[in-house]
Amino acid sequence: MSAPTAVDPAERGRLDIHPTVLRKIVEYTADRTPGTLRRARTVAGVDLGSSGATAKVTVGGDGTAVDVRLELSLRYPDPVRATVAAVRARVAEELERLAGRHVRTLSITVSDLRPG
Amino acid sequence: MSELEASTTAGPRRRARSAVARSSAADRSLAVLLGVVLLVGGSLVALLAYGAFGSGRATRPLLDPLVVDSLRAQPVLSRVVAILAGVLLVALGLAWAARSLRPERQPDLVLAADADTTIVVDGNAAADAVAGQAAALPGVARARARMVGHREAPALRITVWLTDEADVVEVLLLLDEDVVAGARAALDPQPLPVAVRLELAAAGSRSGPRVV
Amino acid sequence: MRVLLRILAPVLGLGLAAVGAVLVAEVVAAWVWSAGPGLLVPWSAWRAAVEDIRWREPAVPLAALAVAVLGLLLVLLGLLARRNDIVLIGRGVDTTVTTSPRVLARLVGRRVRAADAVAAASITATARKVHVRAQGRDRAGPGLRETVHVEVDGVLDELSLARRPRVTVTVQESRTVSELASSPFNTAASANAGDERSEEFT
Repeated sequence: MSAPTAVDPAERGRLDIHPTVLRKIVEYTADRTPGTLRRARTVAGVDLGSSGATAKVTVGGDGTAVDVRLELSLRYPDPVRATVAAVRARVAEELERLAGRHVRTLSITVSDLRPG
Repeated sequence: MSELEASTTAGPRRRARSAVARSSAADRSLAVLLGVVLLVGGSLVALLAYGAFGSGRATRPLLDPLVVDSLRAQPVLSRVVAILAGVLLVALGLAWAARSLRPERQPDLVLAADADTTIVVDGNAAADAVAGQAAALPGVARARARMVGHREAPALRITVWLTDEADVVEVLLLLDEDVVAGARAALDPQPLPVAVRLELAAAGSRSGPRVV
Repeated sequence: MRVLLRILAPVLGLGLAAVGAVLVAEVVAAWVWSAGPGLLVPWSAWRAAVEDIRWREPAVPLAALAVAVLGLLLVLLGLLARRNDIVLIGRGVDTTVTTSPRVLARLVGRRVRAADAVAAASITATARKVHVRAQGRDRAGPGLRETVHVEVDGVLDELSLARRPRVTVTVQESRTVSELASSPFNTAASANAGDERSEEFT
C-alpha cells in the first residue's frame, strides 16, 4: 500500500471570512487614511460618540473578489480624488493581506466635507 | 433639444449664467400663452357682441340653437371631443402645477464613474463646505451655497451677504481665489460653473467670529 | 413680479386642471345617466339662465372684456417677470457674479453719503441707470454735483459691472429729501438715506 499522499496546502481546507469582518477591515483602514474624518453623532441632542467610515461589502464572483461600498467624511478642501485613491490603495492592500480578497469594484459616497 | 441636453452641452459661461437663479421660463411662457388665449377669446366675444361681425350675429342668443343642434346631431363626437379637451386640460394643468411646485433639484457631484470605481460627493455636503468657507471671509456676514443644475451638468450657486463695511472688491477676490478655486480643486475633475450673488446684510450686522 | 408668478403658476395650473376635470365629469355623467341636474356643477341651471341671453346684451361684452383684461394682465406678468440681475464681470469664463439693483443702490448710497459735502442722498438704480438726488450741506455750491459723480464713478469702477449704467445726478438745496416713487413697471430699487447725516450735526 502506498503512503498517504500529502495534500496540497491550497486544498487542505477553506477559510470562510464573514462579511462583517471584511466590513470592519475596510472601515478601520479607511478611518486611518489621512484625509478622512470622523463625524460626531448626536441623536436628539444626545452625544453618541463619533463614527467614521461606513462600509458595505459584498462578496462576488469566485469568492475572492469583493465589491465595496463606502461612505466617508473627508477633510475639505483636500482634493477628493486623491484621498479616495489613497483609501482605495490601503483598503485593497489590507483586504489582500488580511483576508486574501481583492477589490473588484469600489463605490464611494462622500457624505460630509469639513475643514478638519 | 430638451432642457437637459441643452444645458449639458452649453458652454461654461451659459451654465454659470443659468445657475444664478431658478429658471422661470416655463412659468412665464405658460402664463403668456394662457393670457393670450384669454385676451383673444375675450376680445373676440366682445367684438361679436358689439356687432363687429355683423349685427345679425349679435342679435342671436348666446346659446345659439344652430350650434346646439349641430352638437346634438353628433352626440358621440361632441362628447368625445369634450372629454378629450377636458383630459388635456387636466394633464396640462397638473403638469404645470407639479413642475412649478417642485423644489429645485440639488444634484450630487459624480467625480468618477468607471467600471470599477464610482465616486459621488453629496451635493449638500459640497455646498455646505463651500458656504462655510465663504462665510469665514472678512466682510461676509452670511453665506449660503447650493448645488443646482442636474447630475450631468451641475453648477454651484453661492450667495453672500456683505456687511456694511465690506470691501466688495476684496470679497470678490477672496471668493474667487480661495473659495471657488478651493472648491474646484477639491472636486476636480468635475467642472463647476459658479454663480455668485451679492446681497447686503441688514444694516448693522458685522462679520463676527464664527461660532462653531 | 417673479414672486407673484411663482405663486400664481401652481394656482393657475390647478385651476386649469379643475376646469378640465369638471368638464370630463359632467360630460361623462350626462352621457351615462343622461339628462340630470349635473354632477359637480349645476350646469343645467346655468344653461337655463343663459338660454335667453343674446350676445348683444351688455353683460356679455362686459364679461368678455373682463376676461380679456385678465388675459392682458397675465401676458404682462409673463413678459415682465424677468430677472433683473446686475452682472459684474466675474473672473474666469465659468464664474458669474451678479447682484440686485437694490444692492447697487445701497452701495452707491453708502459711498455718496460718506462724502463730506453731502448731507443726504437718495439713489435709484437699475441695470441701465443710476440716479442720485443729493442734498449738499452748508450750501456746498456747484462742486457738489461733480463730487457726487466722482463718488458714483468710483463705485462703478470698483464693481466692474458688465454694463455700465448711465449716471445722472441732481442736486437740491431744500432741506427735505423727498422719497422717489418707483413706477409700477420700473425695475428700479431705491435706497433712501433720509436725514441721517444731517442729524449728526444738529
